[in-house]
Amino acid sequence: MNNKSKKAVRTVSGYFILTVLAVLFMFPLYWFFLNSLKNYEQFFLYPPKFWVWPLRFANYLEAYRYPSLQFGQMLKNSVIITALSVIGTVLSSTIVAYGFSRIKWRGRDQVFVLVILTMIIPTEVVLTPLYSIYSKLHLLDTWIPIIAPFFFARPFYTFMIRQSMMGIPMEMDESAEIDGCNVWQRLLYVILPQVKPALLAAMIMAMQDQWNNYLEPLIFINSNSKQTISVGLTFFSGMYNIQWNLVFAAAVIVAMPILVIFIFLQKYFIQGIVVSGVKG
Amino acid sequence: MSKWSRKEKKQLKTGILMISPWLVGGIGFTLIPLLLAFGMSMTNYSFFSKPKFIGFENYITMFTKDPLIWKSLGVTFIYAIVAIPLQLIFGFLLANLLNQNLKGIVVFRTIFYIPCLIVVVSSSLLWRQMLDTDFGIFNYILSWLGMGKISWLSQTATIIASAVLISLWQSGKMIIINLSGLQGIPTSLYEAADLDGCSKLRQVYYITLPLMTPVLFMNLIIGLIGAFKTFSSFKLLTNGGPNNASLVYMLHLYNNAFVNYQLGYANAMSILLFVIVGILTIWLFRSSAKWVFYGGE
Repeated sequence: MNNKSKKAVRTVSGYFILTVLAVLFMFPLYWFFLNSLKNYEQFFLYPPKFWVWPLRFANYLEAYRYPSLQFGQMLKNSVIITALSVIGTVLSSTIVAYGFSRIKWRGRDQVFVLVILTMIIPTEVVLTPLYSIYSKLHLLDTWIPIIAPFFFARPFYTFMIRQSMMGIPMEMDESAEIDGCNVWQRLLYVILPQVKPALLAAMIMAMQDQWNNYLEPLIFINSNSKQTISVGLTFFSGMYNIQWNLVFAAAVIVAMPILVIFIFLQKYFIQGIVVSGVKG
Repeated sequence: MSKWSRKEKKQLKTGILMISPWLVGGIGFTLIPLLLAFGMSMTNYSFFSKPKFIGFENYITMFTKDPLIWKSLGVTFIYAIVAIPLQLIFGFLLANLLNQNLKGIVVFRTIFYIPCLIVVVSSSLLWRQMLDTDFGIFNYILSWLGMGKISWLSQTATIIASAVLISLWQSGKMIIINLSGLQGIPTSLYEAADLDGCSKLRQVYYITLPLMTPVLFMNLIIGLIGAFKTFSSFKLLTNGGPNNASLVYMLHLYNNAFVNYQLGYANAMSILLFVIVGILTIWLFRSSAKWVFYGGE
């Protein structure tokens, strides 16, 4: 076989394997959306139907307006909590990453090892003591326990942004300094424009983590009016006589905002994650 | 201190100022709670009564009187042993497929990432419905292959298998981290190998794999921690049941802390989790000297 036909075979087999896997990956998603458009009885058909007609779009409205659930309120809570967390990540993780990468100070790299160490300690380990602390401070049943950590440079996002900042040649800071830029101006005009992809990646991941956060709201928030939609979905599925079609419609509504945002930003996402050269 | 130049001192001040959010966060959200957890693990604190110092009694109870500790540690270990290697291998192979220079590859990358955007409550709900014994699509498809109905969520082995399957479906983050690592490998290395007539498979083994060991190592650490703190999917799939068959460690901890309000005991459990994850991580870091390759060393 000559080189050209070899390459063609490789391309075709590449597409083939990817397509098969993509179909496997997409099927549960398809099922997810289909479930949200079924009627109640169709959940108990055997064999299950791979396609239903007519599609029941009313599910979405009925789920949203479901009495005594405050779906809209919880959705709004999640949007605010997530937005604040993303803002907190950008503000705190950027500055901390900057201090760990572009400013030379004694002991910097030794201290950075500690950042990696805290990355290794799971939040789950300190959940019970945090619960007691928040209870003493009367912060239970508020959003503070859920949002606050994002304003104090969570290690993973900080690590990602720092890795990206490390890749910029030091000459850029130096020449900006000669031009009369102070440290903050250098961050704003020299460094930030170059780490945009990493910043976006950190934002997407922070958004995803907070939108998906289940354990912390479950523990720290009691009132339904303050609860996030992620936990709120379980109220739906935990009810007596579960209305499966409405539960799935609600789940699809919850999935939509993040799916739309991701699809808009995805082209920046992959290039933004820099992990090579991880040194402990 | 006198040796330090004025500039050095100023740099140090700026540096510390900049990292102060992390410093405050690390102390407030990690260090103090960790110390507090250790302190409270020596008490019988139960949220309704004043804590009383009881020494190591919680730890003794844990190791001698609470069979569910061992049960939950067992479930968690099995889950970790099955899930971590599969996640690593799967993430690495898929990332290699997604790193090909093909038209429309971005669409594929998006497709494999999307499942991990679905919140855990929804994905557990979806899989519970798909794995349903009587009406689930899973058993229906298996029936084409002539297999009988399996009650997936009724015993330890199949529950863990289901949870691993879901975690693979939602392993987008790991795939992306692998992919970004792959993109950091200079293409000149592959071109040289091509000229030498080295096959693609051999290139993966002799070029990609060694250069990817730092990324694989990072994924291994993330996977290890992820496996030991796993909670939500088990809570939502089976809530530890039936008969504690799928009681993972964090779920047992959660039940003790927030269902039974045995906070002293739950703190002792937190400390044990910390110690286990710590020992395993240190062990991995030690072993990494042997197999993780850092360029330029």
